Amino acid sequence: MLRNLHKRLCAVALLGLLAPAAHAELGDYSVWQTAWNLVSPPSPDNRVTAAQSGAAQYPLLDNPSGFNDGFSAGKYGVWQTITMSPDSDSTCSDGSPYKFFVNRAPNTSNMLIYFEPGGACWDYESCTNPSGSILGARNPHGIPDNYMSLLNPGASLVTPFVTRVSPFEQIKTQNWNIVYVPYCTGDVFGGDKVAVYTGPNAGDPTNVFYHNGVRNTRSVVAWLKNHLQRPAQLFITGSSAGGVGSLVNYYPFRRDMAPDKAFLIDDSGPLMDAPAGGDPTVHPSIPLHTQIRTAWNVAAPIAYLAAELTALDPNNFGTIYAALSQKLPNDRMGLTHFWQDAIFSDYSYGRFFADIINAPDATTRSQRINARWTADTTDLRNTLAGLSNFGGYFPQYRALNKSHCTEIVDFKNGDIQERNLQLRDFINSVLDGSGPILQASEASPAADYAKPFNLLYWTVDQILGD
Amino acid sequence: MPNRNSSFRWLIPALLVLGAIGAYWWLRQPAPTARTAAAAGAPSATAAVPARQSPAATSSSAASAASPPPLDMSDPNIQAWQAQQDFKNRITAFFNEAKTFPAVRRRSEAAELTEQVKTYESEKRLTAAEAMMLRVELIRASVDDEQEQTRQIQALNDQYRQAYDQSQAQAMSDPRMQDYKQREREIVQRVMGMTQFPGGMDRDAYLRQQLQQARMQVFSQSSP
Repeated sequence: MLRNLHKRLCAVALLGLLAPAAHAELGDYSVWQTAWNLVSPPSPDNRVTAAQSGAAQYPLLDNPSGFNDGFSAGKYGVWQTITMSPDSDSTCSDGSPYKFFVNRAPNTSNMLIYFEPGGACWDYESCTNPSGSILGARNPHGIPDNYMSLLNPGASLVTPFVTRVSPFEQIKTQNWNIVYVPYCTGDVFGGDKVAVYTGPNAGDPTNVFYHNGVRNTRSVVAWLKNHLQRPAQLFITGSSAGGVGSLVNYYPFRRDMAPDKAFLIDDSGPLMDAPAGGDPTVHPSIPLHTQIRTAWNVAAPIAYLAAELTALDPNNFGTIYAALSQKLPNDRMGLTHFWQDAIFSDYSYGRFFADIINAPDATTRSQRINARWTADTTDLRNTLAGLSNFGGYFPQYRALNKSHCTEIVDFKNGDIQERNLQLRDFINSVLDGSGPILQASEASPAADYAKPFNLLYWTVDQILGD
Repeated sequence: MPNRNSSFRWLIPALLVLGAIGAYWWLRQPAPTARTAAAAGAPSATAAVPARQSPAATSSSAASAASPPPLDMSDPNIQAWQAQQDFKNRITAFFNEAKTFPAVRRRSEAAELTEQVKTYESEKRLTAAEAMMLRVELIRASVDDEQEQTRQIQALNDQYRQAYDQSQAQAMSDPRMQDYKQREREIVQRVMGMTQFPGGMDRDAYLRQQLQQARMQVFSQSSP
């Protein structure tokens, strides 16, 4: 009895050191449960059902029994590579197996899903891009097993959300289960097409490109349900292409994972208001959306969403915000990007408007792109202003990655000085706030341009080759 | 700056007191109960959301639900997780406090933390990007000369970029991919020449089906 008491005294004392510093909240386990999970990992408790795996459209398909996916349930705090079999209907753009990455935490069921950034492509030139002169998409040769151990350009834009230790930010998700969803399909995680791209010249090799983003994401959901516990809190986010990915996959992801609470932050992956057949001078994203409808066969996944998001107009992707807001009144969601974003805007308009293509110099080209981005963002900001559970945060400029993506590297310098706001205020409003989510926009970039040289940002831009 | 030794002096007695209180409370508790899933506000799901299972229910070694099974606190998983939390606290404290340290101490602690970062990176407890950022900041915190800072950071960048380029080259030489791309060429040529497709499918659907079957033949092995 005394020996047992001594053991338990030591156990309780040691257990106190195991819990992360953050205060406990919904989804967090007790100290005892945390220690127990480290020794005996909990079983999944919300597995894929027969109805879900047999669904007519976008079923949840996991790996077949006996397939070695590389996962070890008892490995906590370690990045594990999860390989998906072709049986799960997943693949990268070159036909290689899709993989994603899980870092498990023993102290909570709460889960963060991060969709990776990485451009986009929609024709032979951008998907093949032999000279590298056109904006294209990341990972055309698939995802290596050691992807998280490589400083690939996409991962170098690391957001503090997916770190366990950041020198810049401490945020509660660093103690959560983290799922990193890599991008290898060139379709902002929203496509569903096997494209056969043929080149303009007789000798050009055919490029078979699998725009398989939706099915890849469904396979991730299936695996998570069959291997991990149902999250009490689920936070889905992503940057750039991953931002769009988080937005278009949010509803089915959170529906099937069935958390108690769910949150979304789309960083710099907006779907602008662009009614099909409308006027591109009023809605500059119309040509882009027209192109990707065909190139990525977006009609099928949009129809799938619209079946349950009744306010989603399949002919206007920009209606997704109101649709999500209406369907999920208790979720907290938000979108953020810079007014001076020079990358997403270039993808959106750069190849679609004659005055941009024929611009006499780089400065004029940039101005014409930014004018359209301003028009679209103004529209989007007004749309979000009417939604109490879908916030909008639009700072002007940051000297990093051509002012593209607010949540990468650190959460600093996405400030709206006019209202004494930081990006962190917006993040907190989504994740920890109550009532209407913050809506804020910065009018002038003057204060941002006046900031001193930032060695860290310069370093990251060197890594990116900017 | 707080004296860490003086606060540490009180830590062990405090832990023992807390431990005694906790143990008394614990010995008087029933087995941990299941955490019920409320699923508040969730849209209609196709299956009922299950309740959580307690350690007693999930453990095959538990003799009864009344007493929690004993834990071996020397279990390597528990030790590893604790060590990781300690490292996180230590490096965070360093970044917060390093400016107040003498140069010698900054360099010494930064060097030690850098080695730990490298170890955790090799164990995949940190991603390359995470490790890179930490090492960049450790350089900035411990190297006063800005030119030297830039030189060291550039050298680090070059090292990581080389590893990435090597990995890209390896990915393209995978024999399974070469096998698959050959099959893919044959399938695409065949299907693109067809005008009718079985099972009421259109060309896109049939092409997808054929290519997926080929991928299953090439990649559906037990070892990734």
